[in-house]
Amino acid sequence: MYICPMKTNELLRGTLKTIILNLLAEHGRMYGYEMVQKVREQSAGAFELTEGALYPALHKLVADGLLVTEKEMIGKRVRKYYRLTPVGSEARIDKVHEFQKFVRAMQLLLNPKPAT
Amino acid sequence: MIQLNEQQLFSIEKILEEQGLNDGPLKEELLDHLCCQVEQAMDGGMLFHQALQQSLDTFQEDEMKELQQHFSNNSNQKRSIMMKVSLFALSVLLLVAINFNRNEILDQEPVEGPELVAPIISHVLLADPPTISPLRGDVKITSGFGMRLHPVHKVKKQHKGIDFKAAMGTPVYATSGGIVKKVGNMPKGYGKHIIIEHDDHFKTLYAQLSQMDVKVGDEVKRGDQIGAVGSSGLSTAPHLHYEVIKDGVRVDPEEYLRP
Repeated sequence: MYICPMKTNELLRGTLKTIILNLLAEHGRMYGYEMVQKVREQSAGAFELTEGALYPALHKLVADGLLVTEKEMIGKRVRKYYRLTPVGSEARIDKVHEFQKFVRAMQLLLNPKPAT
Repeated sequence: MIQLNEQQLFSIEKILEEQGLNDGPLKEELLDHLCCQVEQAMDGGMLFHQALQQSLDTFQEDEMKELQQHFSNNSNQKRSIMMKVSLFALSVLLLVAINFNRNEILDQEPVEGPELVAPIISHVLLADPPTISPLRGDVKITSGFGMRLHPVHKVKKQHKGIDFKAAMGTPVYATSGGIVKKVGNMPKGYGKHIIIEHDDHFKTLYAQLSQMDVKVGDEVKRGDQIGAVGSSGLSTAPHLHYEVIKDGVRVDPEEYLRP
């Protein structure tokens, strides 16, 4: 069966920062393209991050002090790696909890138990 | 794992330049991103130009607009300040004009006032979806909007517009009034193409042209000839590729071919 991947839509966009922070907590340092690959892989192809959403989000996280970057030369081109700061690590824990709460509440809202 | 050579890297850099994405804070990352995408496709057995085209298809058309907005944020802020300054100047002028008319009203018909106001109002009210076909006469749509088997890459892909079969040189008309936002050339994609902004919601895109008769900033009216049919990009025969973009999202142009 062909599952159309979900491009960065409103839902995915709202959780993008959580996704990025969590990826980096799991994998240490990563570059943009690697994140796109990992998200595709770990979501079994359901989520497809687009550059237009990913890079501005990464830059915002750097500006907010949650991530730091380091550059490396790959042949003739530059590759920029991202890594969590201590503040970023904490923010990630909060964000994941917040999201789990959100999911539970949404499930209650969308599948109300029949009144007994 | 394939790594692109210098020449291939250079050609990707050039494409980013064509897109106006060759400077700003994302420059290096976008280049690396595109290169990674191309390398991965080549690892899968594709030739460089096929891999590049495939990457560009997902890259440029998806959220390029958003990226460009991200780049131009600073200049937008400047522009918005300029706008506020000029609006202020305009309102001062209007006040002066109105007062002037008030003083003169006993002797003369007020002429200046309404004329000064009219163009501003009509600009605000300008909300014009496309309502005609970009080609005249008998037109044949050879490829519709939505999922299709890509004619060159032979893979299932989203077709972001519709294709009209037409002879080389057939005139192409603006489907609604507006301002020309982009006149570009992407030999490995859209070919020669024009984007017209009609209002805050609607834009139209005309691609694979052989000739382009407008430049960026030109004002066009519905039905003005803007170019001619060709086969200037990734294309197998002369045709017009036409897209309607509503609030940044591609919609089915067939819904907008008539009023």
